[in-house]
Amino acid sequence: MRRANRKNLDARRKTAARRRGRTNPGYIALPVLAAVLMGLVPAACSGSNDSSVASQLSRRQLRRSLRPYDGGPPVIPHAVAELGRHDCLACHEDGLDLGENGLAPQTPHPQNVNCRQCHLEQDSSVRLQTANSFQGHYNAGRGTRPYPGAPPTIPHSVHMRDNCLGCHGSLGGSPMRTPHPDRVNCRQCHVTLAAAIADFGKAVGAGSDDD
Amino acid sequence: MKRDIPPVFQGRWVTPDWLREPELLSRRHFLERSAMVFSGVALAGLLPGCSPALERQVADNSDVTWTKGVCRFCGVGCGVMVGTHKGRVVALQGDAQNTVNRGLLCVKGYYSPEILYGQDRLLYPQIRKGGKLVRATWEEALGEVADRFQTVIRQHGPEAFAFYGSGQWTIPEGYAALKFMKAGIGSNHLEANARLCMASAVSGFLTTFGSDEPPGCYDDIDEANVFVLWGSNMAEMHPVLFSRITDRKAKQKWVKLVDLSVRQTRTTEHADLFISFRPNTDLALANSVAYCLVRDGKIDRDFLNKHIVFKRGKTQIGYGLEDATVFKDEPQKIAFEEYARFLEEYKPERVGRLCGIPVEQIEELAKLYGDPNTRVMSFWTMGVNQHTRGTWMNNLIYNIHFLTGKICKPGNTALSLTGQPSACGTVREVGTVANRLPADMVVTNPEHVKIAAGIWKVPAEKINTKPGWDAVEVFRALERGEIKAVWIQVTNPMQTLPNLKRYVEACRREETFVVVSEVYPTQTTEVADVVLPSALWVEKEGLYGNTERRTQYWPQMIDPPGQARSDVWQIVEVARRMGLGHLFEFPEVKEGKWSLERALYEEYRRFTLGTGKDVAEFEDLVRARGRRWPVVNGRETARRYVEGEDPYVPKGTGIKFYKNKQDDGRAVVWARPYEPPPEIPDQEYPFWLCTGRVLEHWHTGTLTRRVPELLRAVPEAVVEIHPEDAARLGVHEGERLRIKSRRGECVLKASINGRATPQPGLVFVPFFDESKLINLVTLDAYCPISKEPDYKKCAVRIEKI
Repeated sequence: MRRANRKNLDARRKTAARRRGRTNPGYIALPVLAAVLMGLVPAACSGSNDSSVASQLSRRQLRRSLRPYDGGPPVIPHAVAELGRHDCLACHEDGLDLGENGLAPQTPHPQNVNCRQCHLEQDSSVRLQTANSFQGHYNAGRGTRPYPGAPPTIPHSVHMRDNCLGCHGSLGGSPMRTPHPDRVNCRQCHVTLAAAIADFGKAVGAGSDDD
Repeated sequence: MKRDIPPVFQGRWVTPDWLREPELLSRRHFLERSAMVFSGVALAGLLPGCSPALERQVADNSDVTWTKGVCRFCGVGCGVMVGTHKGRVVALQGDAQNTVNRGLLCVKGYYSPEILYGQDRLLYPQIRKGGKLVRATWEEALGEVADRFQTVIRQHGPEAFAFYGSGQWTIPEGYAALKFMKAGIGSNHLEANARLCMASAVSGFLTTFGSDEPPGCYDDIDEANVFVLWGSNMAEMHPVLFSRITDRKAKQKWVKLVDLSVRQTRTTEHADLFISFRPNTDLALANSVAYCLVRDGKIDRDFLNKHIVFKRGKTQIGYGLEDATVFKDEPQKIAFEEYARFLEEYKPERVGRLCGIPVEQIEELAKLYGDPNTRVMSFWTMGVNQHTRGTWMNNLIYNIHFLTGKICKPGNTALSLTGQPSACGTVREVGTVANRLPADMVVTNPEHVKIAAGIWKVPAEKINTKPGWDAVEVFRALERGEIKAVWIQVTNPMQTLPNLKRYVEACRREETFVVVSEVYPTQTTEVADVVLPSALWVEKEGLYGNTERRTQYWPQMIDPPGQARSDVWQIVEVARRMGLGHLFEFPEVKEGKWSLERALYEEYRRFTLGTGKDVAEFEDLVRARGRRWPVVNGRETARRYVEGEDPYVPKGTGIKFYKNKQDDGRAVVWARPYEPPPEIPDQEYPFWLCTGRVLEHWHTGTLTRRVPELLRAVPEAVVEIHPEDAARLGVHEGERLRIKSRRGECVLKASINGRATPQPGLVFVPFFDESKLINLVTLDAYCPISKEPDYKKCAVRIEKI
């Protein structure tokens, strides 16, 4: 199992892309190149906690590269061998800052205890025998604001994402960190935008009576 | 480490850069969009058939159409929301409102959109010419198929023709095949791969209850406080249901899980009691539990007097190793006292020695079942069903629940878990097996034949009343030359049949005409004379029926690729060319009111009405998250045989097993003995071989190994070996080993203390890897009652390479 080189942001992104196996390298390299050309970011970047635009962008790319589509479970980007069920939570129950090596994000759904039912370890050395042209839907990831300074709407489904700080807290996986972690009743101000999330009430075939 | 959260300063918060500057924001967007444009264009260039409209990845959820559907994989039957955009599936989410899974899925479910998009998807029909598969048009292929079938039938009779389908068939597909064969061709050699996984459960149900399919349902998971798994690695095989169990354990510390298995698995990690019995001795273990219950008086006499008869049947019933095995049981009613005497042979001291387990474990298990305060739910699948005494083993588990009266009550039930998404809904309920008609009816009963003839509008004489061959026998008959042509749909027997070499050779012969409807190249398309490209999952309208009798519906959401067409269309087109098109002409379809799939379902439904297996109205299923039959007056049934829940139970009876008419509505406790398996490890072949599955791969891996994330998670099959055995043989992790039996061999890498650890003296190999055909090694012995092969036990030796 090859561990990603986490010292270099660029390399880390490339490894994630390679693991993905089917992402055109241009997909990752181009924004970096563009960013470099625009002078927004030096060629060698610092760690995951830089709040600059490029760092936000890179965290988003990393986040996407681990998931088949928005809402899908991320793959496990590190070796786990056959750890018992308690071992995942050792790092992911509260989240862990691994410094240069990145972040072990807090799980947004601590009530689910069978981690490997949904999260897959990956062997990046595996050669794919057949290509796969699946392209997953990715959320734009930006809520709307009715006026500047208003709390943004939640642009994603909150299904299995009940623990907001799991992603938006300081030890979360989302590129977007809350600027006010002291306020904990998130959904008092942030509402899900009906048109922008999977409106399952309107889903084709879904009944309104529920059994 | 410096964090990017700005300080709160005197109640004012500091706006981070990226939120403050519009130019930065729009630049970021530009970067993202341009990345997508380039990736989309590049990708479109790489893969022909990829729509150029994908230059923009879907960025906004409002572009995605969400449709309610059902997972393509296991018998749990999770509800899903499928997200489509511009004719492609782009996302999936668990359906939070479906009571089966409440929004949770597992890896196969989450990655199922990707199964549609493997690069080597079959796009056009192919005919084998000069040893090679050559592209053909539908006209040519269908013409060839109909022609050859008609020739075989004309020259050798309808019984020279077989149809081998699948528990992954939708209900309309299975019903179309049934009508084609039984109303049209007049052949009962209609079988499905569910014979290889659920047949013992079916014969268990039929001999115990007089009717197939469980009395209980998933609701019982919320009520039980003891869960007993008999040879079932539920954490990997029915993960979402397993999560419902672990959820109960997390919330209520007194909930117990018992794991009875020859391997330590991910399931064992959660178990409070783990009993590792020797292979095949589960028969003795179950009887020993019954013995303890009777000995300690932990039995519900009242329940037994009211609802049970005791019987015994033939013993030493063989192993199906001879061709054309025919078995007829000779049931005899016995008194409870005789049953109690039968159990005397199964005292824990003796059974403990036989099973290789401490007596205390048997007593503890019996105590959990016998304690009047426990509500016990037993689960099982392949460990019990793929067993040369699989029917007996099913009977024995029900015995325990009957003796204690722990059945047909909330949380007290024995739930036979189904493997495939519609082994219940299609194969078992529609009756796509050698002797069946829909709704528990059989071809050998003239009354049932009359009903079928009436619905099908064919003369009763047209329906063949001689049961056909079971799955394994169909392929043996192909070998003998008795069956000359077979149509295989949605399954891969050239990888899944036990003692594989024999059957591959049979299919490869010149005289055998093999038609395969598939979505990807497989081991079976390798032997096909004609390959027909099929629609997969949401590329067609369909219905599935899961473990708990829940029929669920999904509409067609996207078009199949290339020239692929649904299996229903293929059957109808071949039927038309054989003069049987009238069987599939429905006025509602002609008038454009219904789809053909709906028409087939509606006709099938007519068989079920009034039988206690009534399926729901079509329009109800379109709206609802499935309905559990019997559905009468729109009301579904959670628990069968229970007054107030099951509308067929007569008032005042409380519980009535009304489907078992021959025993006056009583269920049967069968005295079934321990008998050894046909092949036991010896000097020359000193290890047990057990085969099975892993979470990440479905069946023969033809779908899941084309999903990059799933392939990277489990790239190949390995052989699990106990560390002591490994040390003794000098085997190290990853070393290539030859697993060899009297029938064949397979080379695999060793896995020591990996995901699971088998008991000493046993090795375990999953069968999903087409480059490691472990079924070349297995034995085609089966339960003579159910005809289901035993994939869990044969003798092998390990050779270092």
